[in-house]
Amino acid sequence: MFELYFGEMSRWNDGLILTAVMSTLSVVIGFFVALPIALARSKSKGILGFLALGYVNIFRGVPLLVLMFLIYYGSGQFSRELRGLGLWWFFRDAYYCGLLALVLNTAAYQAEIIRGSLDTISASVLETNAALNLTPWTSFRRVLLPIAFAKALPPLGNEYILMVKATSLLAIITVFDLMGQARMIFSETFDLRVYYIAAAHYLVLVLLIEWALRRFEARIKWMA
Amino acid sequence: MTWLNSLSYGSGGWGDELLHGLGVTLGLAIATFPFAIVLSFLIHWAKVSRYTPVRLFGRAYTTVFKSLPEILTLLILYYQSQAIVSWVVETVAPGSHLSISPFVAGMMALAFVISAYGSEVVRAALNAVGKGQFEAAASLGLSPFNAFFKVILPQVWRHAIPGFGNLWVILLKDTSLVSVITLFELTHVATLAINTTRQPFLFFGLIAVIYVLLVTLSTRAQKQIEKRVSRGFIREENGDV
Amino acid sequence: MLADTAIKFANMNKYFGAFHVLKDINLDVAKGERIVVCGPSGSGKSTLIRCVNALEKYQSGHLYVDGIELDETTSTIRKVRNHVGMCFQHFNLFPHLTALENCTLSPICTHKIPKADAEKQAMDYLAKVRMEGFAHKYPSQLSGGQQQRVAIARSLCMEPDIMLFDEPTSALDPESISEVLDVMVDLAGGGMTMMCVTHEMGFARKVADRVVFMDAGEIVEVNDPEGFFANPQEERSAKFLKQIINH
Repeated sequence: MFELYFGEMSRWNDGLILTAVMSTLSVVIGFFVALPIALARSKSKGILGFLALGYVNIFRGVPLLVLMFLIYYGSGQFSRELRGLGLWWFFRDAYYCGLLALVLNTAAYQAEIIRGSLDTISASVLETNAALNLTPWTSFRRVLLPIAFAKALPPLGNEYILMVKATSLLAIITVFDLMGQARMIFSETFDLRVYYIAAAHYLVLVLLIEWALRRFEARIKWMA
Repeated sequence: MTWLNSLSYGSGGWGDELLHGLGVTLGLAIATFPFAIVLSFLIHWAKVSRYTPVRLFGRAYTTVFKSLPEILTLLILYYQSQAIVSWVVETVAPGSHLSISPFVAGMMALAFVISAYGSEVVRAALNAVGKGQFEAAASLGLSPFNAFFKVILPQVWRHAIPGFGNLWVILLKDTSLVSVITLFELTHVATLAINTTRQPFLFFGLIAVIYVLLVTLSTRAQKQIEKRVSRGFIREENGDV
Repeated sequence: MLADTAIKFANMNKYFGAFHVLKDINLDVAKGERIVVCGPSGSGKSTLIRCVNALEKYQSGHLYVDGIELDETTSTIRKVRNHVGMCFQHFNLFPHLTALENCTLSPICTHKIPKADAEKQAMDYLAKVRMEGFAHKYPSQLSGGQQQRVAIARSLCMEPDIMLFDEPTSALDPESISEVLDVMVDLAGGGMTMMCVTHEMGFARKVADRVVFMDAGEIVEVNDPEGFFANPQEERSAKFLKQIINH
């Protein structure tokens, strides 16, 4: 077991870093994609709300693996057109395609999380803000935003962990994240222990993130 | 209209293969789900057991299966169970061979993963039913068996349906992962079709639509069931005791 | 141990972790006797009666119910529970069953009484609590007082020798309180052994043979109702009575 880890240490480390980078990037970019969708879901009854609902339903309905295949391999069917548009550099690269799929996927879930926390802010809070004669900006910045954030934090943390696991699918479209490195080393050694080493990496990574999230949530205990 | 040809039913097109793949996808999900629900209850009980080793096992089970990527769980279970089976067969009857089917490996892996989350659905649902119901059943002298099946379980469903419904959708989508160990379900059939037709966007787009439809239908069905199950509880929900 | 003793606590102690909830409890309840247990919240009065049907375990001393010493074995607990009925503060009716089904569940499942007989018996007891017209209603369709009366009928269907009441009226509105108390007074008239945790002092005066006053896990005073209300022997009981009368 040791030689499979220490002998291939640099590959494991590269994989670990790529997994961390890809999952963090997708969650952060996904958050900013999700914000307007959540606002549209929460506040708009018209066409915007409908489009947002469509986005959420579609990207929560397609398995992430299929979405990755669709973007990475599917774009190949239009390589000529994409070249013409000057977008081929993006779609020919498994890393960009994978990231795009992850972002589209997590944005759909995060939008629902943010919408949920916006919707739970009750009318009484708004009334209180009115009674205290807060300006809309102060009310939003000092009251609504902290409450919504505190409410959304645990599920968003959960989403982060789900994305760490989801990045493993990148390996199927030839990206060398943790899972990709494991598949590579396995194909060279046919030693099943390779996958157990990968499992240990994920376990430690997820437990670390959970621990960090708990520490962070403890700081905003006032919400509970 | 060449793309229509490639979807036609019969030897020229992939229509029949796709339909078969859809059957395998649904079959795998339907076969796994009841198994996963029963496991969810067992794991929940393990986690609240009075025996420390059992409790630790329950906690380790959820931690591991919630932390590992589903695809890794699947590969490990597939290769490991194959290794174990081969070893046993080699010991018992040297020279013969037996292989684990991807369907069975997929079922195991998905049931383990889903039940890790399912045990939390069970816990929340039992909490929602409340301790008072256990105590009332006990004070009436019901055996734990009767208390569970006649009193607690009928009430658990109402609280567990949203959670289990969610898990069903996750399960349905996760069946696509089993394509990686060459089970001929929807996603795998699509990759095979693409190898000969060279129309990846068409096929992946098509199965994406199929998955979205399956998920939408499931969500609709879940809403219907929720409505039916919560009949007769409306006043209670309004907080009128 | 006397043959006419229904419940006997002897030097009983109970702890929740390090917290000493019941301290050295000694009390004999005779058959047919009606005991009202009162005291400030957190005094351990609910815990005391919950011990009688083993919803709580005790750590030292003895507790005999109908001559059976309660230990932690399943068979003893089940035997004792067959003799003891209990009504809860929040009724704890099974929401997925009708009033009648709530009443027949245990007789059918546990005592293997034929369904028709169990239903006949249940209807009799529902009539006794004046709920026979609501037999096919679900708990959510009943008011609090009606639910509590069904809960009483449900316990009676077990044909218990002893009935425990854990603050049966404290979750009810004033109108429902008198419905439930009337049923309990009827029941007391029928010679049932009763232990009742309640703050309904009118009820205590009317039906109790003895009042047990608890504070901080101890039995402070045991007295007949006239004596307890007119002339409490202990400072703590006097203080408590003053508080609830002013209340």
